[in-house]
Amino acid sequence: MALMARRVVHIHPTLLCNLTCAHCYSTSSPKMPRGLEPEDILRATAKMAKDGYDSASLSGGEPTIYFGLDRLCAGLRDQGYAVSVITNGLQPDRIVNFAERHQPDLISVSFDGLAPRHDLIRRKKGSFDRAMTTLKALSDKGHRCGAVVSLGEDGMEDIPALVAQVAAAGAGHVQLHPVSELGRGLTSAIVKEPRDETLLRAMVLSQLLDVMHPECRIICDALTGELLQAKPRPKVGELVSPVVIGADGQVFPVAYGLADQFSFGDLRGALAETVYSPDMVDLIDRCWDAAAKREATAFYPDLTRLSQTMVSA
Amino acid sequence: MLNVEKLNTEQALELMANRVASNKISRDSLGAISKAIFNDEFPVIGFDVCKYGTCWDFEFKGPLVKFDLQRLMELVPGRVRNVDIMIDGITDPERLRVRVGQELG
Repeated sequence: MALMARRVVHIHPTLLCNLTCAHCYSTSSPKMPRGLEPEDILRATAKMAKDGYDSASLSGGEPTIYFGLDRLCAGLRDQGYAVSVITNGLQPDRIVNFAERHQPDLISVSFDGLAPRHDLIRRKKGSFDRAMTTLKALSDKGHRCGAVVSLGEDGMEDIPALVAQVAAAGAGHVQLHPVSELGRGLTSAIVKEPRDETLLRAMVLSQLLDVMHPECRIICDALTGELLQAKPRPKVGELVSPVVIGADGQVFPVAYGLADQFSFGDLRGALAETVYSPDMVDLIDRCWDAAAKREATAFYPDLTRLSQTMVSA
Repeated sequence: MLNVEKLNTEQALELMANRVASNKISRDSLGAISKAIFNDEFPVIGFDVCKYGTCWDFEFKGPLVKFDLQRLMELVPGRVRNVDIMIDGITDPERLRVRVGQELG
């Protein structure tokens, strides 16, 4: 069993970003270095493609300002990957030009709420309008596009109107994604990780919005404990999905920010097989048992925290 | 009881979505609704306004003889006023659409 249906490689080629968002789990900013050499990433993804990985998801940092984006996208395509990109939408012309050049299979623009909340969290006035302009321009050019909406403890009242706006702008999907208390999100005074009840509310809301907007698929990245309990768990030796490549070159199973002991290694060196190890399955089992008793769970933030706790213990 | 006579489906959905998003439904109601929506046996495939208030369409995959109405009623929140069981027929005789009308309070 994979945690995701497709074999996904989630790549953070750089943590360089043109924003300094309050909740950024990867602590990306304009002060970060330029990132990994695309050839180093492509050597690792070539091996993964042979193992059966077929989907590459690029985030960061802001992937559309990554110096090696053209070479990376072209290389991933040559290796047979479906390529998806998540962008903050801050530079509409640049992003649309990128999409025109590379025709990604999916490009998602991230949002944090309606304009006042979005601009507050992004720490940049006008960033909401630019993101909406980008989404509309991508849709107008015929690109398959959508929106990823961050979900914190506060701000859910923005979501129905936001979903209506992004659906009208041409989004084919909306993903409500719970924020994690990781990176800058750990100390953010503006955005807090949603509690279980808030996750449950978001799940119900996503179902209602999905019925309201038949042209747009709306999902929430959370599960009830009961649904999680019913899912099959990963087994030792099975191929991991997603695999997460960090901007430091470290390759991890399943989630960003896991404790170092779970790393498959550095992609510039010898990488271990990207299969579930006994330690990783043990970690997932413990997290699964706890999460399955809860009202609702986003699972991945819990997994990351548990891995760090196990190491410090 | 909420007067739904003048609401169409879109308005009713919008009303519900805004109530959920604005934290204007109780934790108990939220739990009951989520229990009905997020179950593996009877996925929700539609929603509409009816003379009683609202009606939810659930899907059941399997022959009619195996459909367990009592189990579905355990999942459905609120006061049930009527149940319609529709079989897809020639296209898929083992797929049922079960419409449950509820009083909207």
